[in-house]
Amino acid sequence: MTDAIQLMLTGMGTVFFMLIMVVVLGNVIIRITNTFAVVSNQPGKTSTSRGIEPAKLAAIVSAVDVVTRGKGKVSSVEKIDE
Amino acid sequence: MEILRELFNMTALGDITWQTLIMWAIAFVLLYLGIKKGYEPLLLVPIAFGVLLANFPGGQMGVVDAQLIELEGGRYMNLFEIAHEYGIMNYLYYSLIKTGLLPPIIFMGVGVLTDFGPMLRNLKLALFGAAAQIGIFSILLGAVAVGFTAKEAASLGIIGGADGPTAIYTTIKLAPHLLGPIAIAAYSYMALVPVIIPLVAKLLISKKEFTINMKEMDRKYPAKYEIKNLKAAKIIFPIALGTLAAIMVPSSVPLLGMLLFGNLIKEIGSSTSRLADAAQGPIMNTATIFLGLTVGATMTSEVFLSAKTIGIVVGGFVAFAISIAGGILAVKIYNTFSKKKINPLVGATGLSAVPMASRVANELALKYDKKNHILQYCMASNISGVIGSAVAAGVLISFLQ
Repeated sequence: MTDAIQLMLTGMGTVFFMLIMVVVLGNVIIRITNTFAVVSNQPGKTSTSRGIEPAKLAAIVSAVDVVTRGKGKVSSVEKIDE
Repeated sequence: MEILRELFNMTALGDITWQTLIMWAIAFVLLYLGIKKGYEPLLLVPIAFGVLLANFPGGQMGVVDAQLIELEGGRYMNLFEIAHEYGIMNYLYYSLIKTGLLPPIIFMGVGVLTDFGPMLRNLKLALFGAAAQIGIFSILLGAVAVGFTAKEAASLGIIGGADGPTAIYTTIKLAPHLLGPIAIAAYSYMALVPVIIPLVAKLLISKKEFTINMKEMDRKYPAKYEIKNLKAAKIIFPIALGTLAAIMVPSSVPLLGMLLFGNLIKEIGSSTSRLADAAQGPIMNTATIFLGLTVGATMTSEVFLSAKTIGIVVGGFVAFAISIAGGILAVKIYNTFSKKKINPLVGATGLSAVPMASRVANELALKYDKKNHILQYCMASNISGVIGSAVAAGVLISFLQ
């Protein structure tokens, strides 16, 4: 029984430690990417993308990403009147 | 007359016992729950059919005890000998399950289906995924007190993590003779998450707490910084976490490592999308079929019809309930010290059952306030629960194996 109590304390301690580390790690990664890998061109915010629903815009960006295998970037989206 | 006797002997009619009939009844109930009620059908249907196959007399589809394949000098039969002597189900069991292969393969697929985004956006909530692992260790204590061995108690307790592959992996390593009942209990209670979470939540959460609006709290107390490149963060995260886990809890790596690899190939995007598609589709589906059938086939009447099975069914439920309660109480304690309140339902989802636990908690919150959508917050603790239960399993395995 004493061994089981010890295992409980060790186990819960390790789980808490690991998830605290997940929090710390996550914060560090976010700060690093915020500093060194800022995405400059948000397609949803370009002036020429006005008037297009965000969901449609996201679908277009996603489709371009798949078709071009990540190489293509959407800089603007415009409606063409027929 | 002689011909009739020979015909009778050819059939399995003479080998059917009352134990066989009970096992068939259990299999039929499980099939009904999986097919008609939709309780985790992807796993419950193969498991239930595996139970049936194992209990067809003369079918040679039941998994035999490991002692039967042991040879002199601590050696074991090779796979061809096992297939020849005990049939193909034992071949599958000893090659895919006993080696611990399939649960990590399934975890790889789960990793592809997992999105760490909600957790990265609400990192603090990840801690409630730790609190919700208390059910695992509480039941470990209780089970040891009522006569289970430490290894059996650990395998029973891991049901409280609400993670099927983790429960199966831990049981394979610690108490393989209990694999059938533990897998059934784990998946049955996961299917009952829509019943168990509201039950425990209504016991412990007040009406005022149910209506805590997380988005309003975010507006009142905004985060210190925003994420400017979520895609990059999501790619780096599984690599960094995998490295950390490998250093701190190496025994959790087979599960956690595969989960994080699966997640990485999804997050990289289109250049590895074919790998991600394979991991979450054909590979995971194939693994699920063989896992379900072979786990079901361990449930022969001699193994299943014992007092320990009843202990596992009861203990599994209590472990589940304690884990949910642990998460809720952790949020309540946090709320007493913090201005920014958290809806206790976020703690209730600290179990692994992703995303069902989050969906159930969200629906529960919406019942009390139609505008209170807490899904993304619940997902944060829910996903951290997957990490938490894998770490807990790693600790149990490394201490008890």
